Amino acid sequence: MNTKIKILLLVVFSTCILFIRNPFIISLVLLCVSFSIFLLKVHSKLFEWIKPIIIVSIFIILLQTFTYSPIKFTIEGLTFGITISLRLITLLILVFAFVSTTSTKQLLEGFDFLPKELSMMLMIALRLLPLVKDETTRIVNAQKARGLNFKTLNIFKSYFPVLVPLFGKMLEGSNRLAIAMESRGFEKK
Amino acid sequence: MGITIKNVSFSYPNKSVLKNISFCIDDGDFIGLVGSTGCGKTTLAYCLNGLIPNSIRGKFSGQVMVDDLDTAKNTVSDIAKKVGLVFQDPDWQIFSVSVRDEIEFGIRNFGLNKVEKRVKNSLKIVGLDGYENREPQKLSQGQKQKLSIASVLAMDTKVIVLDEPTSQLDYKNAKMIHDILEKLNNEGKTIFLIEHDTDFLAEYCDSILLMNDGKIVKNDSTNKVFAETNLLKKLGIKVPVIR
Repeated sequence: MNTKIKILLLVVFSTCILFIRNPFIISLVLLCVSFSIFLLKVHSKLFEWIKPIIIVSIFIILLQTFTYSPIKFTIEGLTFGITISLRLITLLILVFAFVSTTSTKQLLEGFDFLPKELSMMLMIALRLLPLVKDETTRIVNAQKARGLNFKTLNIFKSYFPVLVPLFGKMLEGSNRLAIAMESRGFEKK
Repeated sequence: MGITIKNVSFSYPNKSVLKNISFCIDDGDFIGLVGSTGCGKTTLAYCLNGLIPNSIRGKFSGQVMVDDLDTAKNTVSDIAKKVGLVFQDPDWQIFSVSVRDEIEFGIRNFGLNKVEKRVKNSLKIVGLDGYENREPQKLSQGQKQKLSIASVLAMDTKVIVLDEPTSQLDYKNAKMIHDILEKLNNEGKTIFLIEHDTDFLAEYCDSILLMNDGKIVKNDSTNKVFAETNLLKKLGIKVPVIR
């Protein structure tokens, strides 16, 4: 399918889901989207994607059930919590379906209607994501090898030795990329 | 013609990097540049295609002439049509989603014609023919470096400056890259190679520039420079086995 149509469908479906208030209709959409993911055989990483959202959803349902009317169990609150959670899960599965069936190249082709500078920025951002991931793994391993124990430190102290070299590396890298692009005729506006 | 560097000095806000450097690169030369880490090799490479003084901030003095173009009076884009630059780490130069797009980037920026022919030729020279539709991220490190060379080759610059292009490669891939450079030099391209492996420099280069602390301390034929074993040892540079 043409990527532009896919992007349009994603936007239309996502918007519709935000406006549907009936949890049964949202459930029906969720079932249809999930079924199509299984039909397309791209479901292998689906659970990994929705696991954190399921935890968030449970929290939302509990919160809504007992706070819809102050500190009291209400059916309305439960229904509202379920509706929000279903919306979240459906949106996530829609995005998952889009991402799993679209390569980076197709995705960029889908955004070719954007101005050249914007599509170039998008392309570079997408291109750099795996580099950032690899670099993070490398830095985490290097710090572990030097005895850093991420479990015993608080979140700020443990990520400081990772984030500082990572930002340094990214800034240096983006500078080098800009130089490389310029030396191949890409001019600053 | 060629490149003439006259009394070039350059300093970053807190550090003087190049100190009164002068030398010439003639058309068809295969010149090697060697020196210890931080002695200013990369900065010198940036001077050759106009990135210094046009894009990189700092205090620049002297003159770099590429053929009849003064790098200080022309844009990087103008100089880059004559001098191509290949960097050390291909991961930070390659950004397109296909090999073809990556090579076409420079060609289109310069508005050159025969795009398809240029893509095919440059890939053939580096031994990546048939890779047009492959994703660059999925190539091996050696193939990525070949791709970055191909993307410069496609722009058909007279001079190719390479900043330690094989520092991340194993011997086999490094040798392959140097063989490609030798072939290009035989076809008339001028090669300026910054390299830490003196064995490769001894094998491939016609002349060597020896650099230390921002200065050129020796500029002579490969044999003569590498015969100065005491000087090399003093500067912490490996004396090549093949001389």
